[in-house]
Amino acid sequence: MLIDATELPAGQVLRADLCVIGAGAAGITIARELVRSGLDVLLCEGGGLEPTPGSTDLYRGEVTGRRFGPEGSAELTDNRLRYFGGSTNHWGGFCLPLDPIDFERRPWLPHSGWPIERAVLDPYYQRAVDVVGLAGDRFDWPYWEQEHDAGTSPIEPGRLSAVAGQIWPQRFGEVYREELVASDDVTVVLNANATRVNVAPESDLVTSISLATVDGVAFSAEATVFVLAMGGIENPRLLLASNDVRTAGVGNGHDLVGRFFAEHLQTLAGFALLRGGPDQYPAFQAMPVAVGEHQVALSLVAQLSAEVIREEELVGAGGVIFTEPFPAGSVQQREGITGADVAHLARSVSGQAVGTSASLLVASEQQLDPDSRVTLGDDVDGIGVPRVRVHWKQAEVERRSMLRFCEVLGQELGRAGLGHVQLAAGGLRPSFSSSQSQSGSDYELDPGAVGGDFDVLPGNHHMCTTRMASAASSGVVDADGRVFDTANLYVAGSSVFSTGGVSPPTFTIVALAIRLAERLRSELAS
Amino acid sequence: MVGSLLSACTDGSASDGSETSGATEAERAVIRLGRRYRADHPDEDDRDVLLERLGVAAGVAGSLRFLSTLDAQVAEDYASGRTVRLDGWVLSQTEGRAAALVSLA
Repeated sequence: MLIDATELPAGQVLRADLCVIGAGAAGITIARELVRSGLDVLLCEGGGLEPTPGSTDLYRGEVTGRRFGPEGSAELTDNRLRYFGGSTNHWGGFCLPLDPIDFERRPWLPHSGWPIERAVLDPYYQRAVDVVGLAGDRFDWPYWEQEHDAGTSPIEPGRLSAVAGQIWPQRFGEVYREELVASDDVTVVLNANATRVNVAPESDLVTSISLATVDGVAFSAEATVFVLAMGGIENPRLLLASNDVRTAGVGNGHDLVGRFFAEHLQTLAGFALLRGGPDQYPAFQAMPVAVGEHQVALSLVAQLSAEVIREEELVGAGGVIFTEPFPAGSVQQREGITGADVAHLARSVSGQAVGTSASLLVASEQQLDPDSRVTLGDDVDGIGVPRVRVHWKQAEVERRSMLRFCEVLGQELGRAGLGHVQLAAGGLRPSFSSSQSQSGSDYELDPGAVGGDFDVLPGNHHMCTTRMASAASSGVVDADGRVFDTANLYVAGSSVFSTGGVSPPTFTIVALAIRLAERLRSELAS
Repeated sequence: MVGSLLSACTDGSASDGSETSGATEAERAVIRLGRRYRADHPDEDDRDVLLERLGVAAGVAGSLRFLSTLDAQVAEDYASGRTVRLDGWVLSQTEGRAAALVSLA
C-alpha cells in the first residue's frame, strides 16, 4: 500500500507492528525482508517519489571543521537524497564487503573493533548479493581472473591484496517500489518526516514517532518496534532532537550519539607509468561481466594487506589504477625528475618502452575521533527540528596510509616489471585554466610539495555516528542494532558501523539490514 | 593524464640506447636521476661507494648498457621493499645507485 502523507488529516495516528523511518537501502531492505511475514510494516519516507526543494531543504545544516566541498556550496544537501530510495538514487554502485581486519580491535587505533566478527556477516553478505543485483558473492580478483577472464592482476598476495569491486548502481526506489506497494504487509508512507522519537518518562520504550509533512501537517506512528534508517547524519540528529523527556536525547545516556562521525577519504594520489600499451591492462579498466541476469562492471582494487596495516600501524587504504585519463587533462611538471626521465631509466634497465600512463585514485578509512561529530545547530528547519551541525575531523595517519599504499603499489609494479609509480598527493594543483596557464596544462605538479596535509574528497559515506558496541559506554547500539537504553528502538544503516573500513558502505548496509530484519521477524513473532 | 610527461620517450625515436640524439636524451635523463639520487644520499656521492654497494666492477659500470645487467637486482629490490623516493617516484635502490654511478662517469 502507498500513502501520501500530504493527504492525511492532522493528528492521524498510523499503527503497525514495525515502523521503519527512512526508505533508503537499509529501510527498503528491511521492509522487503518482511514482506509475507504476516507483520504490519510502516515504511516512512521523508520525501516523495522525486526530490523537491522543500524536502531537500530539511537537510541543510552547518559544517564546521573539515569541509565536504568548497565553502558556500551545498555540502549537506548535495551528498544525500531525501526521497524514496534515498541516496541509492545517485550512488555509484561500488560494492565490496568489509575485510575481517575491519572488525578487529587494533590497539593503535582508538575505538576500533566491532562487537561481531566478519564471519557473522558472511551469510548476510551472500543474501545481499541479490538485493543489490551483483554477479555473485566472490570479491577476490583471482576468482574473476580465472573464471571470467577478467584480466591479470599484477598484485601477489603479501603486502597488498587484490579484490574485485563489483559496480552496479541499483536504484532501490525504482526497482523495489512496485513490490512494496503491492504488498499486503507493507505500507509505504511518503512525505512523512520524523520530527521526534517519543519515549514515556521512566520507561525504556518508544511509544511513537512524531511525523510531519514539509508543510507542517503533524501526524504520528505507533508500533511495537521502531527502526531508524535515515542515514549517518539524520539518525543521530533525530535521536539528539528527541530531548523533551530524556534531555540529552534518546540513546544518549553516555553522550555518544553523533560522535565518531567518519567518512572515506579519497584523492588522486599519484601516477603510474606502465610498460606496453593500455590493452595489456584490462584489469585496470572497469570490465563488464555478466552472470545470469546480473551484469556488473568489475574493478580491480588493490588494498594494503592486514599484515602491513598491523606491522606499520596504519588505517585501511586502497585504490584503483585508471589507464584512462582521470580526471581529463594533462599534467605539467616544471622541475625535478619527470616521467620522461623515469621512462628512459626503465627502458635502459628492462629494454621495454613505457606505453601507458595511469592515475591512482586512492581511498582510506578514518581513525575514529569522538570530537568528529554530529550535533544540533542553533536554527530549526521548516518543521521545527533543530538543524544539524557536522564537525568533521581527519587524522594524519589517514594521509600517511594513502601514500604508503601508493609506495607499496609502486614496489609491486616494480617487482612485476610493469612500471613505476609517482606519489603526487599534495603536489598537484589545478592550473588557472588551460588557456590562461603558461604551461597550457590543466594541472601542475610540484614534486617537492608531495605529502603533508593534502586535499581529499569525501566519499559521501556518513558512518559510525550511532556506532555498534559491546557496551553502552562505548557505543549507541548493541550487536543487533538495538539502542542500548531503549528496548524497542533499533538503528540501521552506516551510522551503526563500529568503524568504517575502506570498502564503500552500501553492500554492508544491506547485509546488516537483512540481519536486522531476521532479528525483528523473530522478535515480533514472539 | 600524464601524456605530456611521456611525450619525450614514447615517440619511438628516443631511448633506444643507440648513439643517436635519442640515446643522448636517455643519458641525460639518467644523469638527472643520478644527480638527484646523490643529492638525496650524500653518503653515496662517491664512485667507489656506489660500486661497492652495487656489487659491480669498475670496468663494466658507467654506461646505459650497464643498466641492463641489473634487471634481476632491481626486481629483487622491489620485492624486498628496498626503494627510494626521488621527487615522488618510487625507484629501486639499485636503479638509484646505478643512475648515480652513470652520472659520475
